[in-house]
Amino acid sequence: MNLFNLVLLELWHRKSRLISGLMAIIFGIAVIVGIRSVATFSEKAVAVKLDNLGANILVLPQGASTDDYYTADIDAPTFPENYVERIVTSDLSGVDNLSPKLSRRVKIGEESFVLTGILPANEITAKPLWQTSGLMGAELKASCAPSNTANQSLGYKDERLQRKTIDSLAAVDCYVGFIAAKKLSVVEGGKISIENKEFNVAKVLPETGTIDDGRIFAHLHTVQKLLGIENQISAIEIMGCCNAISEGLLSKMRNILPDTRITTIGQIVSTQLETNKMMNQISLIFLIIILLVGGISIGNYMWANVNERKKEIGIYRMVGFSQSKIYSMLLIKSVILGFFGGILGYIIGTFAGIILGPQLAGIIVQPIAVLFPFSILLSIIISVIGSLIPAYQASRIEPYSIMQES
Amino acid sequence: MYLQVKNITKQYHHHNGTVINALSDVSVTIEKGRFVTITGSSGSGKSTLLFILGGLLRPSSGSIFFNEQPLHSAGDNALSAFRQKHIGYVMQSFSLIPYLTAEENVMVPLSLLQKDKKTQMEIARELLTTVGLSDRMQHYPKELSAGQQQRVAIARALANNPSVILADEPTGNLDPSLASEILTLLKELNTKNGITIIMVTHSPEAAKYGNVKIHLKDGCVTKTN
Repeated sequence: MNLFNLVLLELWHRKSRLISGLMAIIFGIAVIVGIRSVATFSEKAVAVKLDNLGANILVLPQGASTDDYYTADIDAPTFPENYVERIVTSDLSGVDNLSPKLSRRVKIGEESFVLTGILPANEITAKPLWQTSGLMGAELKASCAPSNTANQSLGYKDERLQRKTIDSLAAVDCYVGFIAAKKLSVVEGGKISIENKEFNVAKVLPETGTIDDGRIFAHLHTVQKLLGIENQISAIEIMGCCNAISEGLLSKMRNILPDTRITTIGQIVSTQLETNKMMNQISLIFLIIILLVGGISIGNYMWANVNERKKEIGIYRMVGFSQSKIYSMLLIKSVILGFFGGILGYIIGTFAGIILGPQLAGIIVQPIAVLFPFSILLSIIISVIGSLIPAYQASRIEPYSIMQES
Repeated sequence: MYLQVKNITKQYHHHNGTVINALSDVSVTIEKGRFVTITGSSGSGKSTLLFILGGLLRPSSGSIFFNEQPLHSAGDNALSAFRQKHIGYVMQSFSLIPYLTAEENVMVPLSLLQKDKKTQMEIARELLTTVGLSDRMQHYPKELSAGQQQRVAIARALANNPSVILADEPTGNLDPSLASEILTLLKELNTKNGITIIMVTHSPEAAKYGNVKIHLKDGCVTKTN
């Protein structure tokens, strides 16, 4: 028999009170695990949704105006097309797709339009709004985590799964935005003349409600020749994973392309950051509440336990247990309480997240293994902190006073 | 000289500000192997003296020595070690741990020693057999009679092979026949095993078992023989 056995025997003897003492810490840990589980999967869901918004990073030459993200490439200075290669050959993660562009204002009749040279596959992948328009092609490969398969397994509606790209855009073909087509009165299969070169209208794009409705898209290399600025581009659109952007993707890109100006859609990144921040804050608030409530609850239980066991502690002292031995016994007890509180709290919290996640937040929640040791550790810390004062009080019990009382 | 207190006083400070003198300038020397009885009326300071002798209570002033080693200036660890190695206690209310069996109660002092569980159990069973409880080892205190509980307490007091047993009214909760059995057992431990017994008692019958008698009145020793 040793201290540990004595503590276990005492705990077993007072099972009902043990359960009531454990309740607060179990539910406290359960709440934290439940919130963290839902928060983790919510962050992933938000990240997927934000990534689905499409291109969110714009690489521009130094000196280009960035007053409006969506028109920044128009009439901007140019830089070499091979900058695309620099990014492609780098080991940057979180870069989903690259779309080099050259945009210039051109006159067709009396009207002014924006002619944008694109490399078709890339341009399409960076424009999710077009994806539902029935363009033909292969499914895109997305590098943003989680993968499409993972997203599907989690039940996220990931539009990237439906994205298609066009195989090619002939040198004489063009796509005409919805408003531009109206102004030019052209239909699919018609012809338009730009800068004295005739283009076939391969498709009139459906209305998107964006600046792209007024653009005419043609093959990048055709536009470069037409405008006399070969091997030059005015912008590279990039679909960067929001998580990667929030983790410093832009600064890494600036190191690769130091003589460019790299900007992003602030709202998207800030939404991601705000989401993460909010989830972390909620978790932190609950963590503090649980620390206080759980600690006080365990402290209260231990205090009552010490008062109830005064005579018993007096007996231990009488037969030779030192103050430090009594203190150790109470702390061993608090560690045991914390250990089981953490295990049960993790199980209940995980099940709560799995059951309530889909109902309340519309997301599928799975067990997060890393929260298991965290739950046990946190629970033990709360339990030990809450027990420090009662354990100290117990160690100060003088056996003679208890013996006299009895 | 074995256990000695010199000019001991003990004062209790009541929360209303009054001071109670439980012991006033008490000096006692107890030789090894004696059966000492401490008698006196209620509030005379008997138990206080017993607790001071056993290292459970510190005197307000004065000195206490065990084998010429000072206990009055010892720290908690040293006093705990002293109690664990040299003293066995038998209390009026038996002072058993309610959720431990008779065997486990006897093993409690042994848990402080570096002995494995098997050895602890062997010692506990041997001691319980000695006090006549070989058939009650796995019984909890509430399943035992008062006399049996006091026997378990005596077995526990003997667990660490102490040189002194301090008994505070050990027969106070027992009927006369059971009281006689317990006193006889203590006397045997004194005569056969050479264990020094210091017993506080109200009972003149119990006091007869002692060969050294200390009488206290109002915190002072009035008679020793």
